[in-house]
Amino acid sequence: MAHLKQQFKDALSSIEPGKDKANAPEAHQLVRRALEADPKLAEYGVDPVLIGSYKRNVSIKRVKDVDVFVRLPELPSDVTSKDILDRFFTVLHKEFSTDEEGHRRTKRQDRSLQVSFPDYDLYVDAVPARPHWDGKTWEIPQKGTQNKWVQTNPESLTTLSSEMNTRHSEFYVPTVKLLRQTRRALLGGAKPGGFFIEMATYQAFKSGSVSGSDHAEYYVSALEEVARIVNDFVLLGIPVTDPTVPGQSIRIRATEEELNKAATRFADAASTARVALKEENEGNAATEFRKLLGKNGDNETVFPMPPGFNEDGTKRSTIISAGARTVPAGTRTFG
Amino acid sequence: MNLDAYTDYVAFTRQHFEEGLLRAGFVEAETEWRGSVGPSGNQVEVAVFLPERFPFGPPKVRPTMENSVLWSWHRELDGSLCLVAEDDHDELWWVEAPAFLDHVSEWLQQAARGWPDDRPDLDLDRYFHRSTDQRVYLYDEQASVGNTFIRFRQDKNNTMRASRGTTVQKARNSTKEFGGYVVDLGEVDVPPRTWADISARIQPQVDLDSRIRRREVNVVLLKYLRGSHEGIIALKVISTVDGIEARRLTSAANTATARSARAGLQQTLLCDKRVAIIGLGALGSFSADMLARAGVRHLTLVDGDVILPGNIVRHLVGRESIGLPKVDAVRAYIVDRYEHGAEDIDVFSQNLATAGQVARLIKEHDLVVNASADFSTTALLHVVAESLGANIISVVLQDDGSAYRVDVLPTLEGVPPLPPLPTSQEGSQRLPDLFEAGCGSPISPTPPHAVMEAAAAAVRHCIGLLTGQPLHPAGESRSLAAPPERHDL
Repeated sequence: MAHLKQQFKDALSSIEPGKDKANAPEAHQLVRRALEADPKLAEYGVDPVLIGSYKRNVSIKRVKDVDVFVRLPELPSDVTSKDILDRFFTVLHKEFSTDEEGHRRTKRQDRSLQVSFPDYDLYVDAVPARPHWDGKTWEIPQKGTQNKWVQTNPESLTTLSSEMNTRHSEFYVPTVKLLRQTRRALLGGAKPGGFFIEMATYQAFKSGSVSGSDHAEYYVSALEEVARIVNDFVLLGIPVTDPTVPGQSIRIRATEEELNKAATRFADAASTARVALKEENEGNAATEFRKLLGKNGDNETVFPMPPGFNEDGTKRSTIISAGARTVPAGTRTFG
Repeated sequence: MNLDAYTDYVAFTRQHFEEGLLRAGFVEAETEWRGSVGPSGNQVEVAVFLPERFPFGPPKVRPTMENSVLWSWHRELDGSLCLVAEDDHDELWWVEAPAFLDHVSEWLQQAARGWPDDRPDLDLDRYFHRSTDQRVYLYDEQASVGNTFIRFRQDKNNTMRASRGTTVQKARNSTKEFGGYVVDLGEVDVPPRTWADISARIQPQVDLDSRIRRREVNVVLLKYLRGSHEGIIALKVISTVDGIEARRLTSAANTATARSARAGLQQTLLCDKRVAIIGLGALGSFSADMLARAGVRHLTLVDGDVILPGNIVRHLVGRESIGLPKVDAVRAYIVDRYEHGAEDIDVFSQNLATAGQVARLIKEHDLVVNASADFSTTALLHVVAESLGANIISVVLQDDGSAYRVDVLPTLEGVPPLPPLPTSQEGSQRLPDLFEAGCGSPISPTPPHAVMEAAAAAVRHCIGLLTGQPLHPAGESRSLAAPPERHDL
C-alpha cells in the first residue's frame, strides 16, 4: 500500500492558487466598493459577500473567477431581475470602463455581471440577490430577461463545507481540491465543471462512504464514491442534491457526449487509484497518481515522484542494493 | 560536487520505512509514529521515532505507556526498547519496516518469556545519566573486591586510580581524592536505575547513605553479575535536596586480564612460548612488538647495533632511545607497555658469531626469527637449523621495499623453497644510492609501511609454527609494487 504522504502534500501545494490568493480579494474589494458607493444600491441595502470555491478554499490553481454575492435586502419587489442587472452594469461599467485594448471590462451574463481584471488575469462575477420569502435564503436571477428568480443559499454552502472539513479532520477540503484537479486532468475544459464535482464530493462525504486516515486514503475513497455518483447521474439520472436548499439539485449544462465521457473516465480513474493505493512499490504507485492528477494551471506536473525514483517510476540505480554497495567489505569486520 | 545522491537515498529510505509503518496501521503523530505491535494477545502500543541519522542509525521504539512492558536489561534509561546491539548493524537491516516490526514483536515475545538464553551484555552504565566528571576511573583486582572501602586518587592523563583504603572520617573538598565503596549487587535481573534501587540492596550496617551525605563516599563501584559474567560500573554519588543522585563515570578495569583481553585467540597458546629474534632493525623490532602483543611471553633479542637518529622513522622505538643498544631499546619499549617484566626479555647486544651460539639459541627457543637480512647469517641459521631438525623463520624486504618474503628454513615436508619474485626494477631506471657518513651499506629506500607489512606477515607465520598450524610449508612472498588485486564483479 503506497500512501506517499509527502507527495500528496506536494501535490496539494502544487494546485494551491498561489498569487491569485492575493489578487482575488483585491479584485473583489474593488467591485464591492463600486457597488456600495452607488446611492441606488445603497438604498436597497447593498451588502456584498464573497462566495464560491475561492471563499470555500476549494479553488485550485489557477483561480479564474471570484464570485461576489450582492445581497440587496431592501430590494423592492417591483424591481425586476433585468432592472437590477442593468443597474449593476451601469455602476460597474462606469467604474471599470474599458481595458487597454478598448474592450468593455464589464460583461452582462444571464444572472450576473462579470468584471475582468486583465492585470490579475481573473474575473469577478457580481450576482444580485434578494431575500426569499422564507426570510432565511436568497434568490438570484435565473435568466435576467425573464424576471425569473431562483432560490439559493451560497453562504450556507461555505458553512457546510467548513463543518464537513472539521468532521473529517481537515481532509475534506484537500480532497475536494484533489478531485477538482482530477476532473481537470481527465476532462479539461469540458463539462461537468469543478462545482459539480465539489457537490458530488460533498454528497459522497455526507453519505458516510468516504473515510481514511491520510490524503491518499481519502482521495481514493472519495474518488470511488464520486465516480459512482457521476455514473448514477449520467446513466440512471439520479441527481446530485444541493445541500443548501432542500429539494433542489445541482443543474449542469453538459452534452450527452461530455456526460458519458465523464462517467467512463471517473470510473477508470477510481479503479486506477485503488490499484495505486494497494501498490507496494512507491514508484509504480506515484506513476499512477501522477496520471490521475495531471498538470496544474501553470502546466506543471502536480504529483511529484518520491525520492529514489526516476520519472518513469523505476528505482534510481543509486538506491538499488545501497546497503551492500556502500559497504563492500561486508559484515564481520573489525577496525 | 553536491549531496544530491545522499539526500535522495536518505529521503527514499525514510519514506519507504514510513510507508511500511502506514501499511502496518501506524499513524503519524507530532514527532513519532504510533501503532500497535506484538503477537496477538500481547500487543503493545508503541511510538516509533526515526533518528536524524536514519537510515544509518536504527529507529527508536518506546511503549506509549511506560510500564506496559516489564523493565529489564533490554530497556534503555528513557524506557525505549534495546532493539539493536552495537554489533548488529549489518546491511542496515532495520530500513525495511516489516522486518523491523517483526524484530520488535520478537523482542516483546522474548520479554514475555523472561529473556531465555540472554546475551550477557555488561552495560549497566546505560541506566544512569552521565556525570560531568570527565575523568577515567581505573580499578584493579584489589579494588574490586566487594563490600569494601576504597580510595580514588588523581593520576596523569585525567585518570583516577583506585586503591584499598578505609573511609576518611572527615569530608574533604578536594576533587583529586575521593572516598569510595564497592557494592556487590550479585545477580541482577532488572537493572537498577536510581540510587534508591541500589541502596535497597546494600547491607544497612554500612550506612552508606549517611556516609555519602557526609561526603565521605563520593564514588561507588557497582559489581554485578549477568549469568556467569561479572561487570563493574563506577557511579558518582551526590547528596541533593531530593535525595542521593547517582551519575555514571567513565570507568575501566586496569588488570592484566583486561589489558590482554584483546590479544587474540591464540594468546593462551603463545604465553609459554620462547622466541628469539636475530636482528632488531626495522623488521626485527616490529616483529618483536607484534609477538609480544600477541602474547609471546619470553623473547630473546640479538643485535649488536645502537639506535641512531636515522633509524627512528622505520623503527619501533622513538627518539628517547637514540644511543641505546637496539635490543635494550626494544626491551624497554615492550616492558613499558605490555605485561612483560624485564626478566621476560633476554638481550644480547652483539651479532651472532659462531654455530654454537646459533645452535644454543635454536635449542633454547621454540622458534628463532631471522630479521637480520644478512646473507651469511641466514645461511648459518639455515644450516644449523637443518642439522638440528628445527625450522626457523627468515624475513626480508627486497628491491628497496618493493617486495617481501618470509621463508620457513628449512621448508616443511621437504617442499621446494619459494621461487624468486620478479624484481620490480627490471626495465625501470634505478635511482642513485644514498650514503651516510661511515663505511656502511647505502641507505635502503624501503618505506616504513612496507616494513610493517613484512613484519606482520612474518609474525603470522611465526604464530602458525608456534601453534602447530603452519600457514605454508615454505612461507610467503609478495610483491608490494604490483597494483592491488582486482576483483571483477
